[in-house]
Amino acid sequence: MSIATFMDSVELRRELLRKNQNADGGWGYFPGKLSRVEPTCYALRAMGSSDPAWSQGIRYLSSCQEKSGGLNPGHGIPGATWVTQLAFPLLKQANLEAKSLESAANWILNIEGAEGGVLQRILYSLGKSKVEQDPRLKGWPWRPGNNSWVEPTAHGLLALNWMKGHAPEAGIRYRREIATKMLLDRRCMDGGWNYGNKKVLGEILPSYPETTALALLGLAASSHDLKASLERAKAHLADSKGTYGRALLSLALRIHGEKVEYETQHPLGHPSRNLMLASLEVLAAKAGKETFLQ
Amino acid sequence: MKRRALLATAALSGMACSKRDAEVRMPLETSTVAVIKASSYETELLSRLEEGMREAWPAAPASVRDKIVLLKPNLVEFDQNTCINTDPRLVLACRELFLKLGAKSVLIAEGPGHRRDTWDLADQAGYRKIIPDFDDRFVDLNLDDVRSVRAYGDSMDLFLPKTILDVDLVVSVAKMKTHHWAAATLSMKNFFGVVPGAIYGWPKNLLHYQGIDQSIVELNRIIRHTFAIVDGIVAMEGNGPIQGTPVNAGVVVMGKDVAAVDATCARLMKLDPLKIKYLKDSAALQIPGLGAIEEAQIEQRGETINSLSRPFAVIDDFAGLRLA
Repeated sequence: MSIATFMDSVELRRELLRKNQNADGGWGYFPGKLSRVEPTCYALRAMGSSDPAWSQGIRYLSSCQEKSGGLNPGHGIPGATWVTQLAFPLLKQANLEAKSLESAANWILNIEGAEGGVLQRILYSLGKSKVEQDPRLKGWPWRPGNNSWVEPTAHGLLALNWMKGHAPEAGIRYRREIATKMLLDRRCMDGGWNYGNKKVLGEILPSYPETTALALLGLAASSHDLKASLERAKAHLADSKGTYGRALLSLALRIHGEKVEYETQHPLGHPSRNLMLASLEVLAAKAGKETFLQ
Repeated sequence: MKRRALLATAALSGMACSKRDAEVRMPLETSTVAVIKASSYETELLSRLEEGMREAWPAAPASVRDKIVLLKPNLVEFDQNTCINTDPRLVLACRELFLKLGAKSVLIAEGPGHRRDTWDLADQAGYRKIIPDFDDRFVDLNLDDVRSVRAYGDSMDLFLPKTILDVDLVVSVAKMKTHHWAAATLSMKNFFGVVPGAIYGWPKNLLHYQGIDQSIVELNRIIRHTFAIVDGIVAMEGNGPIQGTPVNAGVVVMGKDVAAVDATCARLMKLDPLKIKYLKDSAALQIPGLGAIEEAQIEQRGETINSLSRPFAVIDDFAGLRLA
């Protein structure tokens, strides 16, 4: 594909996003669907802070913040969740008032996986766990009260990068250290990541493209040796057909300093009309480290 | 309830339980389940399904006409060397079946528990290639708009996809597989896929925290406008639902009562449905039309279980479930 055609496909996606911003400022996963925090966060990253869509989108995110400081997934779906980590860097970029940022940071720092009960720790120490993972290493759950998983933990780690001045330094360091260890502990034997189980009932499980990319994004500021994981990510990128995985892998590899040119397989738009995929393809084409790290 | 089935239920209850238990069980209705022989995905699948529908749900033409039907296959992960997902050829045949029965439209919807790119998964699994207008018919349940329903003994709000709650009929087009946490995954367990990942995550950890068996029953108590078609043409045994071994079971099981369908599938797999916790629990709740799991409560049509049953390998944890 020529550069001109590729840029057209990027602009086509931005235009799709512009046309499908809902009246409340947010984006749904698909045109005509209700706004949600997750597709709104990706759309805002794809559009950038200079786009006219930005301020309305931030207003939508802000409207999803609950008294606890966390954000719910969308209007009418109460209860703060992992989307708080996803939204935090955007709220920070938008210079939201300090009180809002502090309460969101506080919510993120105080939520951790619910694993690690006494029985689980005993079974782990005896090597009798059905699922091979160190229950002492906690990242972030999708929802409070559940276990830690790769994707919310990756976004948690990214959010920590934007918290300076809004949360105690020691708290940020502590969560970063444990969550990084948790991600490394959950890494699959092939070097990548799936949703967060590397071995179940003695069976070694393979990694997935999309979760490998997300974990690498989360570890972008880490000094650990990620060579095997980056190799796995490159192999996934070469083999994968799915837009979600390929876009995230391109993004993650570029942020880790690899030279990657993202090529869409659907120049005229993804057949699913998924707006989050459109945002990710824009990001895969152009985004750099500054989009995710401060 | 037919007199023969009533007597059989009473007799069975009398043997296994106290008189009081038997009295409680007697009002239960029978459920009709069709067992259809289908040796491949290539030959006469639609006519086999039509035959099964005539046996399992004779009133289907009147009930389905002008209605919106949603097919919920089991799409988990794609591996070309095994049989994790409901075969797309069966889903296509189901679509044709319901259109022939007069359905206004037939949607296909799924919300996988591990993979986020549902569309890509469906594409890899062959759905997009063989199902006409797939992009216009497919709903990603993980990302759908949601509505809350009261669940788990009224203790919490559970957000479910509006598409699932609003269609006239949800058809669980499940895969016949053993399952390393729940013993077997069939038409009832298949409804884990309706729980939206965008709200509850990947995997859908909430369901595990509430209890896998309880969650299976709960979802089936909420989603009652159902029909079940289980793909046992090529099934999975051993360490299912992903890493098990394909087995040519050559059977499709159909019925309105999802628990009765699953109990029949278990018997075809030579597993005792009365020992599978979610089936026991759904029967204990005595919800009309959901939970006839004892042999005497099921009006078996089509092929006999004995003619098509075969022992499925299970992991050690479920060895006690094997039927003699």
